[in-house]
Amino acid sequence: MEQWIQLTIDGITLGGVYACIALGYTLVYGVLRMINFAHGELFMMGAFAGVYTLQGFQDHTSLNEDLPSLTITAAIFMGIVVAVVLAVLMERIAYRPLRHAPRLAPLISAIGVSIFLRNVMLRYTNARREVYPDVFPDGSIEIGDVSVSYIKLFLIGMSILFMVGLYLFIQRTKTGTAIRAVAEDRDTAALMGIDVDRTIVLTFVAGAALAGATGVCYGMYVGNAAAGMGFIPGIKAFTAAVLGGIGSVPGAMLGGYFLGLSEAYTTKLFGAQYKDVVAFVLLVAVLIFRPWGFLGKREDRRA
Amino acid sequence: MRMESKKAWYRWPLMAVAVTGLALFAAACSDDDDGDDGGDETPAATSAATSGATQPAGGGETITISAGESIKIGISTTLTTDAAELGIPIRDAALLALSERPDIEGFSIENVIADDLCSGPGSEAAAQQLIAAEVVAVIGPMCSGGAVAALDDYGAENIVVITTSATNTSVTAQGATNLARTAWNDDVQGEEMAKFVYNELNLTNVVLVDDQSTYGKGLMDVFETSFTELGGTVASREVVTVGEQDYSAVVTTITGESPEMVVFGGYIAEGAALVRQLGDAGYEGAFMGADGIADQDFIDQAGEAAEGAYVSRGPQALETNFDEFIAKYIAEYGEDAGTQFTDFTYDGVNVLLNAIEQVATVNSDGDLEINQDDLIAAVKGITLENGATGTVEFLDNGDRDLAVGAINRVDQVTGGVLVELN
Amino acid sequence: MAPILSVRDVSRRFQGLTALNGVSLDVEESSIVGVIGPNGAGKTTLFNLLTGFYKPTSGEIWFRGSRVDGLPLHRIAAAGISRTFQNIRLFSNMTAIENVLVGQHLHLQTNIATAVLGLPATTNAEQHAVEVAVAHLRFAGLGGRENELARNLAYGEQRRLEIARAIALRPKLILLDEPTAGMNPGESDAMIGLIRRLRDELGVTVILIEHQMRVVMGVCEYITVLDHGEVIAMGTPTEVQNDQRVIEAYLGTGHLKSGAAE
Repeated sequence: MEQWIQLTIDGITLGGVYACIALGYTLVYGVLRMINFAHGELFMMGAFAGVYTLQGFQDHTSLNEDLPSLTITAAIFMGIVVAVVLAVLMERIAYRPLRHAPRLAPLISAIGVSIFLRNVMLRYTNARREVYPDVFPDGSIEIGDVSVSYIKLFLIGMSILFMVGLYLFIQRTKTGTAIRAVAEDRDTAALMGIDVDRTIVLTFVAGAALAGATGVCYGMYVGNAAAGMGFIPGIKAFTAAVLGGIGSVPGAMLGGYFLGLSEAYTTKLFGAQYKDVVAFVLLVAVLIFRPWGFLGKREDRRA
Repeated sequence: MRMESKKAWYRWPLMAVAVTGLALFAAACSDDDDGDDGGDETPAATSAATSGATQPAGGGETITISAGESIKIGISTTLTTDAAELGIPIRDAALLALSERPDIEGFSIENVIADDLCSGPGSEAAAQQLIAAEVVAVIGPMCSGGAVAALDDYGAENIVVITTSATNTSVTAQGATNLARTAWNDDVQGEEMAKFVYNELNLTNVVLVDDQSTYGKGLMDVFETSFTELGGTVASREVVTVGEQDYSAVVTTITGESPEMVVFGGYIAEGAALVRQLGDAGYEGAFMGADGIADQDFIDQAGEAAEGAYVSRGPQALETNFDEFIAKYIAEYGEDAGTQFTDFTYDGVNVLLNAIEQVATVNSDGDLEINQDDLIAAVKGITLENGATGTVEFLDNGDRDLAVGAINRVDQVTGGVLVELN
Repeated sequence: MAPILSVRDVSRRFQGLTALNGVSLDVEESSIVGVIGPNGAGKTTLFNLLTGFYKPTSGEIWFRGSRVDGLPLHRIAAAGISRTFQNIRLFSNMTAIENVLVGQHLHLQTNIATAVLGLPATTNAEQHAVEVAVAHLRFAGLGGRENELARNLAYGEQRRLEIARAIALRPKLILLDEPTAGMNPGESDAMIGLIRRLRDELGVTVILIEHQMRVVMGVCEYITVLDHGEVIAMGTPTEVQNDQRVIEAYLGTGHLKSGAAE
């Protein structure tokens, strides 16, 4: 029994990461009907920004020991900044010129951006992993036989915090409401005085901020950043977004946790070699019976 | 106004998912294909008849290099993907050895480098690239899965291949005659690891984890067989997925078995993540890995959790010129990459260059002639004294000859560095 | 007084087809103007030009003293023109009040940090925005329907919600594309009342496209008649009704006669 609780915690940890990345896919899909396949790379670049920030503190100050909360916050902040800047450039250079091209064109462009960023970092790091300095306190909470390390709690907590923040942003702010309006009907939104181009950029920014921040937290959790680290989480998060209903914000969160838990339980039941098989069988099943995902909406839009 | 098809909107994500799903499966399957013969301990016979690779062209073709042209040496290693962590130092070591011998018989030596992606298809593509570039011989492929896949391609052209890092049994078990390997066969290592754990450490209950690669799975297959024969128990076998970093669910499954030791077959990134997360989960048993993680990077990435981990370095010659080699390597590249494949590669290149020197002749037109069969024979028959990995000699199947005097070296992570035991 | 809207010799061609040809039109501030004409006369094309969906092939559009043709949609909206659609285009997955809040976009002042953190400054601004939105819904006769999803509203309510959303922009000019399409006489009368109140209570200038002559004649002070992309008549309802070319254009359609007979 303890083991199943432990697995549930493992699933929630990874699921939270998937969910945070999935939100970026779903937001951009919402406004552009496009899959930003380079989104996983923003997660990776965020992790690098975080590791270099913390390494900088390590090399030049003693703040990592004296005031880790400050350096960790700074690392997350830098992760957000780097991911956001890249996302804005990405949108401007690789996607906006293709806004009216056939749908496949921006998709290919996105794959190109993804390969580009990955290889830039591979080159820059000489394919080595950058190791996160040990800033987070070791130790764990024990409840009975269940043990949860602080860093895992931190990752779970931060992913929830990021998601709640994004949800409030989408639901409560003027910009968030504009994003929802553009997602529903771009032209009508423009008639309401909403600057659609700016809103699309802000959508990328929101998704990127989340991916960058999550990248830093995940990097601290696994202890390193590597050029290839965004690829598999990116694909899994995309899967989660589709499972939950792409375009749906709560759907992306649900899809992320669903996938994380399914992977954790499958690892125990059948072995880790089958977790991707099970995840994709579930995905196909969901898409056959509910093509719009758990919480996606059947669109009844007028042309 | 924008036209949005009413019905087709969902097919788009569906299609995209189908495509990514297929891609993932394809990636996974390509590993499996290579992996199925991982634990195969029966040598040669089975595959001898399967390919033209094993039949050298009668009499052997002679490669003629015109005056003014250069002798091309192919290097098939992994320059992208995570495995580039090992592949780039391999390339560097090869280039170092080549730079020390700029010409043979007045013909300059040129390197042609191909990225083999540490995969079967990647290594075959690299092979085609190198064949097209008309190389005389090839150093590589880097990974066992890739070597198994690409051997036929090289064999068809009768090109001699010296792999310096593909350690799985299946590589030399193919029966390819054009192959030699400076790195040690995993069988020896897997067996020695099992003996070490059972006899020296007196541990009887272990969990085995591999990365589903030909190398990792193969090594663990051998370990399982040997360890069970000795009387030990393998409580369960788990796998990790290359490219992922969160293995908590695997860790939870492992700790549920309460093993005395976790033995890992695979490379640095996955090994380090596994050790780190075992530590985070409060696992207090022992850990052992092999040459795939024998690297300072492993310790740096795993952090404190790596302390006390055992690392099998495989067989090691008693007397080597490693120190001299590594001094040169550091002088050239600034730091010791820390992988033990750099020295194997350095020796591999020297074996090849010595063999070429033996067989290459300048004809009356001033062109250089190299007979392929003679070159293969020269490589197989070579004795390289004072190598960075000791004296190099090969068995008939291309494996390193252990008779030259080797011990099985095991290191332990002590104070954040690898320290040789005994 | 200068006209609030001035359309000057505007043409619009789609490939070979001329949808509008040399249309000129002046609209006085605070008037209610009808645009009528047979199907395909170019009425909706005119609206699409006025709101920026299309750019004129030639000609100019001036609004409150500045030229607006060629501006992006959101800039024209900001200049003070809003509209409704013949085929309703609400944000159907948002609630009624959210639709109106989107309409207020240009007038909302919030910043991300305070909104996400729920700071008082935002809460007050938000409170105010919600109050205004509720008032707009009441104005359009949708009091009490605030939290209903737009797609769950009845057809007539959806039409009125579009108007509530349009006035949330605080426009100077509002374009109504067939506001009574599909309505029964009772609903149409209510709509006529609402249109009048737009002008009388909010001071908004109204241009409407309408097929129901009863509505056009009942509410419009000036009428422009389009046929085959050209203006064939302008004037008061009485003048237009008696215009020979208008009668010819409508011959066989019966709309004008039946409408005028009422």
